Amino acid sequence: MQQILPKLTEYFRPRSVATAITLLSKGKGRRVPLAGGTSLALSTSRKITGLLDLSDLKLRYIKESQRSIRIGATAVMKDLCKHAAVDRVAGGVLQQAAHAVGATPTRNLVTVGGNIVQLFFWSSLPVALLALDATIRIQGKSGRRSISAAAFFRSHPKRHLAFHELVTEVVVPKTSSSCGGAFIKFARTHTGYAMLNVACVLERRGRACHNVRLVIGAATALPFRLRKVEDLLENAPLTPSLLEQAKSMTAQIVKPVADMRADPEYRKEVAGVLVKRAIQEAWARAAQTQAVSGGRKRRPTASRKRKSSGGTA
Amino acid sequence: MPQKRTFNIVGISVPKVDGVSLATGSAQFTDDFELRSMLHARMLRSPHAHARIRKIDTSEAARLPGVHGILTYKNVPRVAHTTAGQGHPEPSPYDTFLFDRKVRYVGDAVAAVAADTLQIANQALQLIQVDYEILDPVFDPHQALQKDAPIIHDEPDAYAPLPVIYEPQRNLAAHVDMEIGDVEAGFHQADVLLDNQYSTHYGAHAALETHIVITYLDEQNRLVIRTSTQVPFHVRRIVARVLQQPVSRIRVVKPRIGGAFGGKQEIILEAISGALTLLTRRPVKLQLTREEEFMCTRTRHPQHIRLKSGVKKDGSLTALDLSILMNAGAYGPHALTVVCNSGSKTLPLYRCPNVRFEGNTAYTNLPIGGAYRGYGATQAFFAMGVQMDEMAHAIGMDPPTFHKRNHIRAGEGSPVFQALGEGKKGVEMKLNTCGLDACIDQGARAISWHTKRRRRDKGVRRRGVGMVCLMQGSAIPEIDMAAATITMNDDGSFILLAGATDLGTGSDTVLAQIAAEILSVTTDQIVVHSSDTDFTPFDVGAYASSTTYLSGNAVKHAAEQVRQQILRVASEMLNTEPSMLMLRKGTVMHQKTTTRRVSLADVAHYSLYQKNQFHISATASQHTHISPPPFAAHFAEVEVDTETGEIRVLEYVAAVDCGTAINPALAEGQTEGAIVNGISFALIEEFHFDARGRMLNPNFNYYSIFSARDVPPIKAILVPTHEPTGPFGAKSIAEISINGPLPAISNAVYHAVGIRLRHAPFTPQHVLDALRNQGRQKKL
Repeated sequence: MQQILPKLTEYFRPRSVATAITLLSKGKGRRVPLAGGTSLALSTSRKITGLLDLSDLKLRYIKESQRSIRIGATAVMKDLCKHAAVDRVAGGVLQQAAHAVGATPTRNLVTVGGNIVQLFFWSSLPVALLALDATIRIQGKSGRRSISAAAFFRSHPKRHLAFHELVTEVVVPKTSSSCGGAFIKFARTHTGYAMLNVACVLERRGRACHNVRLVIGAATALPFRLRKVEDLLENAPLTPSLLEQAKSMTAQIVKPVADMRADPEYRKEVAGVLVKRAIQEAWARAAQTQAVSGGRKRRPTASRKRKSSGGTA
Repeated sequence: MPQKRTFNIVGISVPKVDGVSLATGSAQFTDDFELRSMLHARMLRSPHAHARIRKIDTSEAARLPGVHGILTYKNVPRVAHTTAGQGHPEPSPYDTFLFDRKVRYVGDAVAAVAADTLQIANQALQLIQVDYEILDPVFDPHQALQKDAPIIHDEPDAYAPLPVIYEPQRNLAAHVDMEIGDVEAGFHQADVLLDNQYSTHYGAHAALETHIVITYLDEQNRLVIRTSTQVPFHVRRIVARVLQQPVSRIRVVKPRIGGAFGGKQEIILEAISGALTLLTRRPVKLQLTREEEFMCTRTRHPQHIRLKSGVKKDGSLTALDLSILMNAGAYGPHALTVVCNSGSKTLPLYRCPNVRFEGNTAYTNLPIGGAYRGYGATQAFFAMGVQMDEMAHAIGMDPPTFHKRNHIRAGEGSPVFQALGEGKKGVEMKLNTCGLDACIDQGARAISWHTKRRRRDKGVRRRGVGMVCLMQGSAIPEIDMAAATITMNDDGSFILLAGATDLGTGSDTVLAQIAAEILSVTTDQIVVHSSDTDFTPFDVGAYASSTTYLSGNAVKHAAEQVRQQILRVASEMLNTEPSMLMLRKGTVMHQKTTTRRVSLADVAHYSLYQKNQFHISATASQHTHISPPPFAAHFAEVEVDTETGEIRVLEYVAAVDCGTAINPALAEGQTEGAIVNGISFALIEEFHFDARGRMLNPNFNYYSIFSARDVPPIKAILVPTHEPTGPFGAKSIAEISINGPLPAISNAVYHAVGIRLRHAPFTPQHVLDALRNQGRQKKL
């Protein structure tokens, strides 16, 4: 039992991003941003001496433009869960991923920025953001930059973000009504840490899928795209045998790290099953959105136990 | 059929007497208490599963500013005892010392430090130098009983206080056996023989409030122990013995409890904290972290079970042979009685002329087993419940019919009741009540058994239904006792002083209802206090499903005596015979001319201030010669995902005969809580250990338990019977329903996909492996 942040002596509540960055710069890595606080509350780091409370930076927003949805870094999971525009993105994949985070009290605290920077292996949001090809906006003392989710999650963000940098916004491109998506969390309980996460986003054109993006999380430290499986599915009619191929190919690709709750062999196999189901579900949702003009049909709340609607072609 | 009785308060779901205070946060738990100059204690724990302490040096830690006291084996009395809070002498071996030169599992107590702050105490722990001689550990109970196994309790002063079999020199913590009839002959008469092995796993109570105690000296230098316990009077007795203090110098106070489930029937911290207070003369608080709660308190004993049975084609049982090897872990609290209960709470359920039972409990260098809701019955009902299903299947009989054909009935006894007691012979008992037929019928109807049973799914996700029948007991006969005191206040209200301990179960409310029923008042006129060894009368505590049945009767008798006194005073006031009077809604009135009446307040005032004064009050005690079993039939509908191995419980129905439900909402709550606890244990709860015996997941991140979102729809049906020896016909309800989920889910999975799950927990990987093996066998 160790003390939480034993060396903590400073607390700041800047009112602008610029001030925040100046304060971070001066901290030389010993000051850290405080967003939802769910991981800092457990930190026993002796390195951290100062906290920068981000709550006055006015970054808690979700804004809809013609082509994208801009999500402020301090928007919390609950905000994503109940936002209509978020729900419309790729069959609700982002909303499903946000809903998979912890329980209601945690979803009221965990922020988008905090969640993607901390990037725990079980995190669900990064998996969905990778599948959606989101862009991460970052501000630091040398200015602003935007990087793709792929680049952001290629290594752990804490490694490539400079100590003076702050994630300010996540931009998610809007999808057409022919685009479907699905997110599946595999865990012992609804609120438990994932043993596997799978996200799938695809476009349905006739009998074939296009622009398929498949992401696996919680198998390894970083979420990753299943490029080979995506290639297999690209522009191919979605037949049961193709789905089986996607399943076994996934099981071959995924090399889960050790988890006391289940053997790697088992998780490999389940990864294949979940990928198959995610594709089916995404396909079925794409069909649904196509059928209803404007794609405004509301779906029931996501859960990992949701039954696949069996949209195999 | 249940007898119709009309009550005023009994049988009604009145709100909990402590409900508002719990909901608004004003309820006082152990930790809600600050004392001036209170010290904070922490414990140093063994990193090794089995080691001898060669040298321990606390001098550096003692020099740390803010450290006020350090305990090791060197400065505490060496008193062999058990931490099991049971009647005296305990049926558990005396194999525990406050601190010892030897450590027997990862997490065993090495030292305790009291300091001004927790931080200082933690720092001090790091300054204690311990030189360990590491010994070979043994983790498997089978291996522990082998000849060349390391001996865990090689200390010469461990012993069993009762004449029971106890052989620590071969790691045998307990043994029990019995045979009724001739089991081998029974097997010869059978048309079908079944012989299978089953196993159950470690489980944590996972109470929200971890073990906590505050100790201090009162103005007379008596040791006051404010503790989260189920057994305040056993705490007093055991701490007195261990600290070599007279019982009269110790007072134990039980505040509100944040969950116990059997885990707080154990005296784990009280003597340590008490010793620190005696050493420092300062108040001391000792609370376990969640990690310690998982690793260093008590668990559900894992069991390896072999069950052999014979059945005739007509469905009659010819023989049952149950043998159990139980893992005690490093010490033996409840080592004998839990395994006894595995036999005594399961075998009498079925009429069978030939029954054999053997139970052995082995020490290992793993976490310690103890009392946990269900108490051995949970483990054994897994084997019994599944094998009954296997038998029904083998002879082609529908399980409800099979159970109905074989279960014990009112008017019948079982030789098992007599053969198996707790550390001594049991008692002869004939059942006054058994509502099991009605439980089976009502439960089957509620889950649409006959419709669902015909269904055979073929897809990826397949559904099935399964059932099981259960029993438990109500208190330990010829051992347990309870007492209660009721006094009357000058406004006609009452104080109920109960030794019984409400752990959140609602027993304060149930006891208030019993008193209110007799005294014809509402529960707000009964002020309940439980429990304080200085002020409330003796009660063994909350365990063995005893409070409603046993303590309830004590309250009832006390209330009846108070009622007699009230009538006597009123008769003096109304100038009539007491027999002509009756009590109605806070008034004593003449049976014929009801205008001749006095209020309870008038009676109280008269008795205290006016004439022939005396305090209307009574204390009554209760013990019991029998332990009337509650019965239950449980039904589960599951869906098995054949691609991932996940089991989802879709619906769960529990029909329970608890006699009269004094408070139906609380009885349903006990049932639902036990089922959630049981499903979570069956499907997801698991202790993981590394190769050196250290638990890898002592936290809720990796030891998952069900939360509200995971709970399936549960239907609790209360099937009334009238137990003549219970208060207003009541039997127990607290434990029975935790025994259902393991077998009911296993049987439902068999119906869904044709695999028999005989080893718990039913994790997805385990289920998928079983499905694979089944597929392979089919191909062969």
